[in-house]
Amino acid sequence: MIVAVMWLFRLGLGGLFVFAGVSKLRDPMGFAQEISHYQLAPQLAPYGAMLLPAIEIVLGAALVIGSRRWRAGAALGLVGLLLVFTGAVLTAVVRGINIDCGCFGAGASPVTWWTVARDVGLLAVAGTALIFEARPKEATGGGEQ
Amino acid sequence: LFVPRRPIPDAILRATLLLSLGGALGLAQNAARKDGVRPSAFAQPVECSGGDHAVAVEISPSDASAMCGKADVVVADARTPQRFSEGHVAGAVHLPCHADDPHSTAASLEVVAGRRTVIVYGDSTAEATPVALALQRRAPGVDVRVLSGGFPGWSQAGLACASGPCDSCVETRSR
Repeated sequence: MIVAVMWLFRLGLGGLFVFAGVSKLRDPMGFAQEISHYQLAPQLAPYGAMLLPAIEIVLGAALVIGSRRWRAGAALGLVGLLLVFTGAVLTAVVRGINIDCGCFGAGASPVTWWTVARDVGLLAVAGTALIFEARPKEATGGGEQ
Repeated sequence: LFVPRRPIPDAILRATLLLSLGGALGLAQNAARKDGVRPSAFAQPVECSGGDHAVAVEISPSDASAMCGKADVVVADARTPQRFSEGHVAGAVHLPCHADDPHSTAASLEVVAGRRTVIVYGDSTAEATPVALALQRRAPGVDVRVLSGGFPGWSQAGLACASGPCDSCVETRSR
């Protein structure tokens, strides 16, 4: 049962990040603008637009198709990424600035408390996946998958 | 029970490798594509930049004049400092609005802080509209409006405020 739930977590979270990365690749300049709208080190926005989509795709794909140890690494990377994303949207909501989240590239939905809640939920899923994948093999009830 | 032996250090190593791989692929694909991001050519949006597909709410010169004396209303001039010095709605504040000034966004937000309504004008409605939309985006709780016709419209309507703070504004029919 747990293995099936974790499989769904991996597929859902990994697939979501692959989709988000591919969406951002469609309009890199628009995504850079979306990042700069957060007003958090906007001079770094173009670099974020260059790096983030491919990183999301690699981490998402590794979580879905990687071996257990690579899945643990991917889950840890996604936890770090989601901590950054959650912090960014939280500051935007707290400061009351009305911007699109850029979560799926340019023209995505606006940043609201729902965006924060969604990111916290994804963070919980990624954290659960990390704990599960990083456990010793004998504790997971299964071998290398 | 979660009892890691060496998996966390291993996970950190693999996460670092995956992040590095993703970063390298990102740089490579960006360099390969014609529409990739060029940091040297990237212009950070300022409050003067356009505001997507939103529509600015306009206000006529006469309605703006009627609101001019209210304490929670500010009239903001979005033109260049030179144009402002040549003549402006008395009581209006100049809205810092320069793409080369990284502090202009914060300064513009200071102008609207604590105000319920901000009336933005330029030398035309079109000139002030993107500024108003950007202000609205940055300060969603403020009612931002664009003065129809801009400063020429205000002048042609014969409306003017006397010099001094906005609460001393008076309406005149001749200039």
